[in-house]
Amino acid sequence: MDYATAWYYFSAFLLGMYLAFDGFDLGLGSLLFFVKDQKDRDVLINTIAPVWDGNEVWFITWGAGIFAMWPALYAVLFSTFYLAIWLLAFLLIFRAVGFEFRNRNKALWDKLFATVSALIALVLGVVVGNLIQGIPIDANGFHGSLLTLFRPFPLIVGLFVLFAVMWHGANWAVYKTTGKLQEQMRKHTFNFWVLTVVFLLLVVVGMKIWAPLRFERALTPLGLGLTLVILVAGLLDGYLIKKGDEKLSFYISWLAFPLVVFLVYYSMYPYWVISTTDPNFKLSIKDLAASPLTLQAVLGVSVVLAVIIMAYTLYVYKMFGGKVTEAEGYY
Amino acid sequence: MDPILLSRIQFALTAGYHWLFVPASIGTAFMVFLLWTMAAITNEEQWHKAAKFFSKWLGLFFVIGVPTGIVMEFEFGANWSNYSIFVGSIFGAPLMLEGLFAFALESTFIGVLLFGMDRLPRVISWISSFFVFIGSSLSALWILIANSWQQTPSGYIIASTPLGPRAELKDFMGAVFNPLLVSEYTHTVNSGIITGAYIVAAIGAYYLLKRRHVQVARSAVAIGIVVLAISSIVQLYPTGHMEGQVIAKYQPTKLAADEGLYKTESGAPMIVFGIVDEKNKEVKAAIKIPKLLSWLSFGDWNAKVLGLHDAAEYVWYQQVLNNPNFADEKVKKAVIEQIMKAHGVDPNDPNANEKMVKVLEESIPVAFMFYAYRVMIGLGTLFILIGLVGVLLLLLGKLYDARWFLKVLVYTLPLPWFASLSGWFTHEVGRMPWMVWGMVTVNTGASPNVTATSVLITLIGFVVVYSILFYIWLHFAKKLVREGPEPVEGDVTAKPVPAVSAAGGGQ
Repeated sequence: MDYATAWYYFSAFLLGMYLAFDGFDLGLGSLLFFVKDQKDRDVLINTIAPVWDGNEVWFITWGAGIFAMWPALYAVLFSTFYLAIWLLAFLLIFRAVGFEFRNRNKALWDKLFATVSALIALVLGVVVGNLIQGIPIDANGFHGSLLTLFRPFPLIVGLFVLFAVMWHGANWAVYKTTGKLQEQMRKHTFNFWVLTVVFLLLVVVGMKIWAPLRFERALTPLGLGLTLVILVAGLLDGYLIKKGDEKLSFYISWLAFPLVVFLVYYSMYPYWVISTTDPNFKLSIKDLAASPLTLQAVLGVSVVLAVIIMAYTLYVYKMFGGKVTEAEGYY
Repeated sequence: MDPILLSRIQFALTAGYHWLFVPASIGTAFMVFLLWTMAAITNEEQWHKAAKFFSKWLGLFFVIGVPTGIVMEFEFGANWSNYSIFVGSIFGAPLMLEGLFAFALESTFIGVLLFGMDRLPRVISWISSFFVFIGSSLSALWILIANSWQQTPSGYIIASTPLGPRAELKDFMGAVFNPLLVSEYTHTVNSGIITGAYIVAAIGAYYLLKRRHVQVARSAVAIGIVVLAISSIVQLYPTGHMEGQVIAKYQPTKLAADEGLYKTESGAPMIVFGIVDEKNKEVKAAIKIPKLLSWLSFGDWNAKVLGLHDAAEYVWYQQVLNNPNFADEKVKKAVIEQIMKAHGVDPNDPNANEKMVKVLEESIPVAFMFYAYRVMIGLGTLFILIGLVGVLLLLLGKLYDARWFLKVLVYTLPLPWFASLSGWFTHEVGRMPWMVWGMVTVNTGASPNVTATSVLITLIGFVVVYSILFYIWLHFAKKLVREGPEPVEGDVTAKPVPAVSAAGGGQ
């Protein structure tokens, strides 16, 4: 495997870890819409309070990885989708700050936090959807507007990501809470699991229609095998939720994200960007890559560090393990 | 409106705002680690309460520091896409490593520190505070590797690629340990420690003046003052001195602007103060110390220091046209023509080089640099003075009762921020017009496809969002001051506004 390809799949790992970890706090945030009781909301927030800052790390590292290893891709995407990118940035700022300062006016901040969490999941999905479908771009640059981003297929992917993180967030909540709140969350888990499965199928159908090149690639034996694993795991989770196995059910939703991201990356390989208007215009991961020495110099150390981060992250999760029943904040 | 100008304003605004919280975070992280260490060594309650109290302050700086830092990473791609393409192969790597090496450690363990200090064993809090401090200093290290590389690039080659000319890594360690790294890093982190020490000392002084939380406050003032005295001296020598010498050698135009030196001089004097007349290119009413600048810059009383024009000429001919790191003549020609065109100079003009020297000379606002530099040096000197007076009072056993001195500490609390902002101004404005020294200017680095309207919208967005953030931040800072640290047993004045406050605090 060449270095650009190795980086490509390492980048998949980083994004997968982001969705596995931060996915449940994004999902939990979005679920606050359905939680009326203030004390219940406090408990839910407290299940993620000690760890959510660390969860964001995977996103930052993923973004910085794209910048470092595909600077041209980073530059093209960010300057082309200037306003959309800044919308995402403002959402991330509000989420971070709203989270830490919610004690000032909980009712307001919780609404804001829920809205922003849901929007971040949606917009992230939309961005990925655009990468899958391709964009109207050629040697002369980008031919489209902000609205181009919100075509049907990217929106389906966006909704899929939103429902998936909500399923994941509800799984986490069931895992971390007790009593009536837990019961309430259990219902959400099942509902959002259904929506996730439905939208996953829609994404597959959508790929066939709107992104045939990616779809073909996903039909190769490895892609197909992976798809089957995801489907079986997903269906199993519905059974586990019904059975009440909160631990295994959470682990499965946790694992589903890296697998899905890997599948998406696999189906996109070797082109980061394909054009919807000019079939000959494609930008491969090698075309856009940084210089060979950069790719080489940082890869080994990054992989080792990612493993170390995983280790202490899991240790911290263990430290704050167990059910959360109390509502408390540190400010 | 000009999109490049708007992008510059936006970057200056967002980076400057971020810079209000960075030194405070690094410094407070260091102080918090010291306080947890003191708590572990002495096992006394007031140290433990102080450690917990200032951990909350650390959280408060961290909350704004992180998202405003992420914003800057976004800006590289969004507003400065040509710059990102040109140097991303080198500049991106340290940002990536910052995430993995430092940010992960910092943000994971700040969660443990803030949420664990009431429910986990103290030793875990102590270890977490250590990791947070290490994380924030490593974070600064990687960011400053990226920043210093732009100021004094090394270990690279400018190659021709299908995406256009770009800088590529030739020697990883060479790029990391570029000439400016060590001095810039130590000077910057130490400026954070000064800020952190000041915060701890001044908040302690405030409580002593109010006769509240007296025991915790005494611990805070004492440790703050000691750290302030040491770090403010270190800031002048060796770190500041070292950085000055590197700049004299590698960024002569920056040095000339800092010192208001228009004409090349051997045995150049140090100007303590004066009034810059940009029109006539001179410094009026200057108070000078003969030959000092030559000695400080080059360790030789009679060394030649380049004036602004000669420095600009040196930069253009020696550092740009004679840059040995171009892969071949074709790339060199392409890059140089690109720079010339972006600054309105026709490459075929026989006087093109002279015109570029003029561009470089006029890109630096000398008066601004001269005054900003003096604010930094002046405040630095003041901090040494305050630190030494404080230590003297501490040794004489009079520190806690010297109300005038405690008042000085409280009222001068904003000054460390002025000092680090003016330091940052001298550092960053002084490299104009270069984004990356000798390779990319602000004109060549900007995004070609972003309109002025787009930038204006986000700029307004930033002003609004950052104002709200600042308001909320102040609200929580005030709340934290009001609440104060948890009461220490025997400290009868722990409650706010006691009717009869026992001076000295019931020890």
